[in-house]
Amino acid sequence: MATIGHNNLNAKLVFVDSTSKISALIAFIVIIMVLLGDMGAGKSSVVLRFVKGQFLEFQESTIGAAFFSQTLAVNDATVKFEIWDTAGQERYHSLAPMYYRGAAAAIIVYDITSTESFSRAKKWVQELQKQGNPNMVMALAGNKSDLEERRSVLADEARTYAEENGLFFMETSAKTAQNVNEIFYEIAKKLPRAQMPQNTAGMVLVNQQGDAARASSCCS
Amino acid sequence: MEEEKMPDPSTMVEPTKFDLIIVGTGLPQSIIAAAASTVGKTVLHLDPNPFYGLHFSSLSPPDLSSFLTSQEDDANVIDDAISPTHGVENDVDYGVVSLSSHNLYSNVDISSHNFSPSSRFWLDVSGPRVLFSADSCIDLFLKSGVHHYLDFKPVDLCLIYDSHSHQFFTVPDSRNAIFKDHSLSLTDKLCLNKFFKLVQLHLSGDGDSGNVISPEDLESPFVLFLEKNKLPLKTKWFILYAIALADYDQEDLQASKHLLSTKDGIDRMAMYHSSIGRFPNAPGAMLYPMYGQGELPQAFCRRAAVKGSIYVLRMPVTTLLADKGSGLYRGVRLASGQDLFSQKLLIDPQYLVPQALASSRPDVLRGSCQNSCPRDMKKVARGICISTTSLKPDASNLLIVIPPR
Repeated sequence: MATIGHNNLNAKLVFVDSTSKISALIAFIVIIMVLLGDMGAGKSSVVLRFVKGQFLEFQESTIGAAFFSQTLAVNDATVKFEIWDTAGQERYHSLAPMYYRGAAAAIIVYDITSTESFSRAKKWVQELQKQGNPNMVMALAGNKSDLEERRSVLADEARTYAEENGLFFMETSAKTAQNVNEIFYEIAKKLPRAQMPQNTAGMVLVNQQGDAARASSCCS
Repeated sequence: MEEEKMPDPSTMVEPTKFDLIIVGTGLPQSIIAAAASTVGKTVLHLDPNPFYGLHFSSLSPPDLSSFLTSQEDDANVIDDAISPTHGVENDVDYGVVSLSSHNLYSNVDISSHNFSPSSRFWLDVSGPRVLFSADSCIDLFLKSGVHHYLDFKPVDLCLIYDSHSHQFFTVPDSRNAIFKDHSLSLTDKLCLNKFFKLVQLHLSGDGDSGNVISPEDLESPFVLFLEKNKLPLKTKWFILYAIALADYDQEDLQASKHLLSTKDGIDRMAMYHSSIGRFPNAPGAMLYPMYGQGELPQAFCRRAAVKGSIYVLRMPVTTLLADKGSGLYRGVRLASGQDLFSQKLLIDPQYLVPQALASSRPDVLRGSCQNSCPRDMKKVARGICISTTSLKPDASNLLIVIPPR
């Protein structure tokens, strides 16, 4: 099923125990997630660490992929993240609002060695508060925590800012993998479990001939 | 490059040579950006505004007000610092021609409004309001893959205003709906049904039944054809204005150049008919992008970006650069002062290319040359009304048609 663009909540797995009573109903949630932040803050590195477990010292600016996906199991749900790539549109501060309008979650990434990237991160938070989905789960990630000796943004400062703006905060390192899975796991836990009311969900056009064949490899 | 205007390093565009530079992120330019980058061309897409879509955008009420008023003034020269002499000036390396734009909006009147702060909505600047499900643009969304980025809403209901009775009537969208419609008399219903059968027969015809509607009738105004088939007034209206979506007063036979021909009218009825039920979750004929028409250019731009196009908003182009010897187009100068070069240039029709450059080699700048002479300008009166509640409490998306008369 091509479920791109939906915040779908389907009961997928029903576990039946020995007494044949339904003891658990595990929800399967597909969400669109976006990563925002300055060029070079490490958005792609964080995603690649989470999705592929890789880290490249010189990650090139990303071109060519529309999104990555990765599935996480949390206590009561299986969450499939569809992580949309900014496709370089943030490079000259020209990201289209459509990129984050339908997103259910966002990680705003800055580089702890750059105060400028932290100010840019705050701008993204404002932008999301203004234009994004009001129920969006937002996380602030201070990336490159392995570069402690070059730190110029204090963790306490960022934490205070995050608390004031209803975000949760973690310092991450895509290089050492510190807190990368954790931040996605935290988001998965915080996502609302109830289905979005019908009138807020749009429909995605389905190409009856073409999509069935392409559905299995939906990165395009 | 001019020494005195060193660009801000954060907005230095890299690289500096492209196959295609596009100015303006309106829907046509965005489609071309997606197409060109998909076939492997290097594309730089610029827009002077802080948002995508230009005249095809959807803006919040305050942003719409400021956009319309900013576009309202007379012949808006983009950069006053550069003297708007409409000729080729000589720079150190290139002939430079300043680029100006003409106003598209006049007599903008915004009455005071009182929005509750919780209301988050966007208004379409222009562009089409609704799309037929069977329209070729929907095929383009599917073919190019931009449908992955778009959420649509079906139009639940279409209402047409009857200026005689001062009432709104629901436009029946199927034969079943016609028979359930209590506002139509039985004779009207039979007439309409007969007419629909005739049209269907005509459309299904291959060769031999091509004479169902005579060639003379097909060339005649659609309104006369409807009258010939004895369709009652109300029915005639909704076919003309709510199904065929005719723009002009069709009952004014004097203004013949705006009259829809029977052939076109029937094609539009066919479009309406094939739109119904194309997508299982959209029962009616029409779709609407959930966050407004402004999503459409954004989706194509996103597609282009995924394929490698570079996007720079808030970046006006002040000047076109021409080769000193031949006068051929070479590149553009940005408001930041940076010069960028491309094989081809595509600019929004709101820009005026000064005659000097355009006429020097019309074969090179043919498209832009048309821009420089907006002779056949027409004005369209548009209004946006915001109601506090839906006109029909049970329908969240409805289309209201107010016939010209």
